[in-house]
Amino acid sequence: MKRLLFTVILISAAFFSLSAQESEGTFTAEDVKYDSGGSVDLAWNLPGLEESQTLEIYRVFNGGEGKIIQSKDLSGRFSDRNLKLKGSYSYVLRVVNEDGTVAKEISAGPVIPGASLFSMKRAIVLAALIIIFYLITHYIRASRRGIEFPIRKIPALESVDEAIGRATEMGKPILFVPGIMDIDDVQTVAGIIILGEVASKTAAYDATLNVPVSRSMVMSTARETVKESYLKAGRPDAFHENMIHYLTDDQFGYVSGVDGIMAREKPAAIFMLGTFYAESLILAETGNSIGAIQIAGTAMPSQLPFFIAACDYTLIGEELYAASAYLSRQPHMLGALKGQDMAKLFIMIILIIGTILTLLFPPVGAWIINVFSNIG
Amino acid sequence: MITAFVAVIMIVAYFVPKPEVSVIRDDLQQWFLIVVTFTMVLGLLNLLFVSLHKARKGRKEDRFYNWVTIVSLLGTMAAGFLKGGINSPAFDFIFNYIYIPLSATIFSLLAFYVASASFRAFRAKSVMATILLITAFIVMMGRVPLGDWVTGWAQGTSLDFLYLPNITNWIMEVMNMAGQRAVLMGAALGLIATGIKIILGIERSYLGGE
Repeated sequence: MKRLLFTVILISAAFFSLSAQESEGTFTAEDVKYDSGGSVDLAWNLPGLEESQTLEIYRVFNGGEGKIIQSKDLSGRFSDRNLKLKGSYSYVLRVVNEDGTVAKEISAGPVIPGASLFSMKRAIVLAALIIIFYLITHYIRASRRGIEFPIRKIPALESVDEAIGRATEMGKPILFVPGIMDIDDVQTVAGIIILGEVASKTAAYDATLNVPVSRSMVMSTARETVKESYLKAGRPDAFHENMIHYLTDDQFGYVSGVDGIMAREKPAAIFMLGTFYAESLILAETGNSIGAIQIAGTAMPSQLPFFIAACDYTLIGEELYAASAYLSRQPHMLGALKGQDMAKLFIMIILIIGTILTLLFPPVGAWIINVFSNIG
Repeated sequence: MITAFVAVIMIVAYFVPKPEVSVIRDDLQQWFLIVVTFTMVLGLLNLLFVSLHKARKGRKEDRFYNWVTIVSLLGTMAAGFLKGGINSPAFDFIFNYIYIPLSATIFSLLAFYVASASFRAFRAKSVMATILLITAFIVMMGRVPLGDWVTGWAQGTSLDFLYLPNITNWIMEVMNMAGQRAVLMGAALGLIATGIKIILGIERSYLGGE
């Protein structure tokens, strides 16, 4: 009987102490997962906070403390970032009355912010990359074994010969605009690759090529590409460095320069292949007004409608990246293109499965959305 | 080799948040910026020499514009080297009263070019072109106060679906967004494939190789 009474008293005491803690509030400090080790997440919930009271949070490190945040919210979260010094951090939450006295104090920690070896948030990206990489390399190996991969006709690329031939017959130059971004943009690289193919044809047909660029590094890269194309075509004498010349880094300054070239030199063929922004329509309309045949290509969805409306042929998105394989017809390039198509099929299947799961099983759908939203 | 090495480091840095890896990534990005800065001098000299050559020996109709380029380039540089640097009154004047109005003028051409491109593109020559024309008309009406004035009576009633701004929003957020996302996905895959080809050395033509 005494034992039973003692047990009841003990349980009641534990219950009341827990209740007291809950009515006092909670304050937690946790290391932020999958970061470079300089952040701690703080969270508090103080149901008993009065209107006249303010809460202050202090960071305690190496015996010293400093206030990091002051708030009147009953509950909230705060990320303490840029903790560059290695060591253990503690936090103290103080509820301060109007007169400056401390009504309550809750501690959290110690926490040692650490860097993860691998960001699990991005595991899904790594998995997708590995699958895509495998598919592309698999089909490149298949193409090297002699398997042929047919490619559908892309009207814009079929017309490259027609455009260059037209310019040659009319005795007018060919203008090539590789976009306004630098060489670190893959669209610019794709544009330069196509420039190499166009330069081979202009070398063979003895047509004049003019390539005004917006970035100096693009100028250097484009020069090497065009020079190599002219060398391979057996026309090194026809190449001169000023075919590829720098105008300006400024967006509308570049557009003005290119428009001026179009208006004065009246090229018969204009290629606009790369990254474009607001200047796309200005370039395309000016080219249209001089009666040039225009072949454009970009992966910027916002600029595609302008090119489609104003240009004769447009390479849409991935067609820009497929152009090098299409024009060169090298087996390993076609193999890579096939691998890219298989990766697209894989993603389409995942999309359909994900959509069906989301519709039929909402919790599964919510989990899928959560996984893709937290990649960061 | 250099391309592959740097690309692998950038990819590893994306997945491994350790500060030791981030430092290497940040250093590589800084090196890129330094190289780009030096190549700007190259571009500047190229612009000057090409413009000088064309100003002296180019076509007669081009010479005036090349002289304007040379004078503007050297004048702006001189203003920047004055006491106060880019905060000098002369540089400020060039920026505020020459550069900004000129940029705004070129940008404003876009409004007229949109009108002329739309006039050419939105013609009912086929079924698809007619659908495009009707859709464009609905979107344009939904974006201006006229659309609200004409169909405002339907707002908040059982015929709310006839309210033009609502139809416009649905077209932009559902149909247009679907198309844009499809293009983006295809382009993203193309980007990954091109990146893989560059990293593996299959694509070397941008460096002057095969």
